[in-house]
Amino acid sequence: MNVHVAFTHSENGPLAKLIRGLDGQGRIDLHAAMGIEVQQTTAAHVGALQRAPDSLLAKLGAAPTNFYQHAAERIESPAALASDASAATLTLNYPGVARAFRTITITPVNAKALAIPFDRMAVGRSPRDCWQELHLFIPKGKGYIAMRVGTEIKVMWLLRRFVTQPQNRALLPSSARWEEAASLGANTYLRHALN
Amino acid sequence: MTTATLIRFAATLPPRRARMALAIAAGVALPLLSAAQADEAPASDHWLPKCASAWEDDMHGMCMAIAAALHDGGTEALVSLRKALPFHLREANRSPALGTALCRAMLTAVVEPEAPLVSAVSYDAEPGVTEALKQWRSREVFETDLGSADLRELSRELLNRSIFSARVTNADFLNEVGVAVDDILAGKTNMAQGRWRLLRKLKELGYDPMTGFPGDMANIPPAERDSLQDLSSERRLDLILETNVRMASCYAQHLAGNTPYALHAYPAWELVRLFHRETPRGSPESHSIGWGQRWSDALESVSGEGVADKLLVARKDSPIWQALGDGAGDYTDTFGNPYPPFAFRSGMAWKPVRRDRCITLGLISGDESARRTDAQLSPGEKEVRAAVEKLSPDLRAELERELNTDAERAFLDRTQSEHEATQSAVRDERIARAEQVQSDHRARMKAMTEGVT
Repeated sequence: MNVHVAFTHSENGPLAKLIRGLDGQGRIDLHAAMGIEVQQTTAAHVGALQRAPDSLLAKLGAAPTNFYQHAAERIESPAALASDASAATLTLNYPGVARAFRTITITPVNAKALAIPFDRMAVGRSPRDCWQELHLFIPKGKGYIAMRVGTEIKVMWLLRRFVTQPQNRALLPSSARWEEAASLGANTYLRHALN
Repeated sequence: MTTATLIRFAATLPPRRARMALAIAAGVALPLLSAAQADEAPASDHWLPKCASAWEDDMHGMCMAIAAALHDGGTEALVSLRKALPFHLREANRSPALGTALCRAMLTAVVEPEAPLVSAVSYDAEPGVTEALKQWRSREVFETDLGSADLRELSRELLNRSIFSARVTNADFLNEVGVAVDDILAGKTNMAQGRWRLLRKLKELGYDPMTGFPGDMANIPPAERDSLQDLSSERRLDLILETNVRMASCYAQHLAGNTPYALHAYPAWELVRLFHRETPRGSPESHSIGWGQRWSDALESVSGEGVADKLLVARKDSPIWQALGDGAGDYTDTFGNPYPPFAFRSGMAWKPVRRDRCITLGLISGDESARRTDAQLSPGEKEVRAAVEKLSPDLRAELERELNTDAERAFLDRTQSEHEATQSAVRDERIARAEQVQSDHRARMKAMTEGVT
């Protein structure tokens, strides 16, 4: 997903006039400065995201999967950050980022069902990874994958045809926060240039 | 009131910088005001209080006076402002030079209310090709039966251009690693899916930890099942994927951190723990040395150059980053890169440090930026640099002289010929003009003579 940050082509305001007067490298550098601040803001926000305390994984007491931390480091790759005369573009390449903007429905790929971890041992793993080692099986007519422990059966994963995750805008900084960061970059750059 | 009037007024202020700053403030404020007045918007409600609060309390009165003068306009307002300034400065017990800072504050105050107007954010879902992806895609498969200790002896440039894993001699599997990491970097899959993909490939290729790949002629020792040496173990697959993904991401992070603005606004990195680890380095259960000690060892090896006191913070151009990557202090679990991850399974990462904090820490002076680092060079350029460093000083000097001579000669030749061409054109033009003048003069004289006779 790409986030583009640019100046509004407003008729009002001295800054808009000043920026309209910039073309070529000055404008590119200005956008780059805005993009870097937006990128730092986004990376800091995503890196600080923690699993919700009432989430299933937290209740299972599983170790963190570092999902958001990996995502944050990839936003930092401002490779990610391309700037040109029209805008600075920040690319967010990690699964699930679209959830910040819409409700998403996840369906299985190359499988009949999604496996949702239901045990601490199952977190961050696919049943395929350890089907044989853990002697996993699906009890007939049941919607879960189980493991036999002695005479008991332990539920490891729940099986679902699809999972719907509601939109959560808080997974990324708000648009206002992004605008603030972009303005900070622009102001810092312009002030530095004026001095 | 015109900008020219205001600038003339500003010229009467004593410090030169204050005059400039006020002129700039005026230049920014006037269009803002005229635009606001045309729309009949209450502009003063928006920026006047902010302008005032941008300054310390004791200068409030003076700031308000200047802001009001800028807002109201008119010669009377300026005259009263000129009278009021010394009064306000005396009242605040400040020197007139403080006008510089005041005007900067005003500039900030006038500019900042514009913030919501200046940027627009939009989104699209097009897949983006990032620098991390580009770097990863430039790599080629490198099958090797070497262990991690032997791999450390190989050229870093070779390793940075290869897809490899210790004691993996199967190109098919390494190709699959390439695709899995590419998919993760492109945001198409996650680690678990990548791991499954590699596991499926290993099964397809008939890999067994005890016997390795079928038909493999390399002498690879058998691996204990589920150990780190077992390619099909979760730990090993995680290590392969996470290390490669992080190395590509952090390489791109390094590049972006060395752009001119990034070097100015964020001149240093801080080494922080970003990833959770069950037994981090330095914990009693890990029986290993922690990052604090490793930092001290690296610090000692570079004599503290560009490093903050008692913190894991250093300038971007400090040699400590390369020292950490090289394992200064005899650590053998490093990758040799000046960017994270600095060691196998390390959960430490970089956090950029803002300029003001760097100044407070004494890492940088007010008008200084960190220098660019070698990360900006392409692998080819790095190779050239490394090859040149291996030459003897005499040979290097000769090479440089030769390169400079050639370049210099070409430049001089070009300059000389351009100069001659220009001179010749000018001379021709002058001669032509002189001839024209002379012929006009003759024609006029002839006409006059004929007229007289």
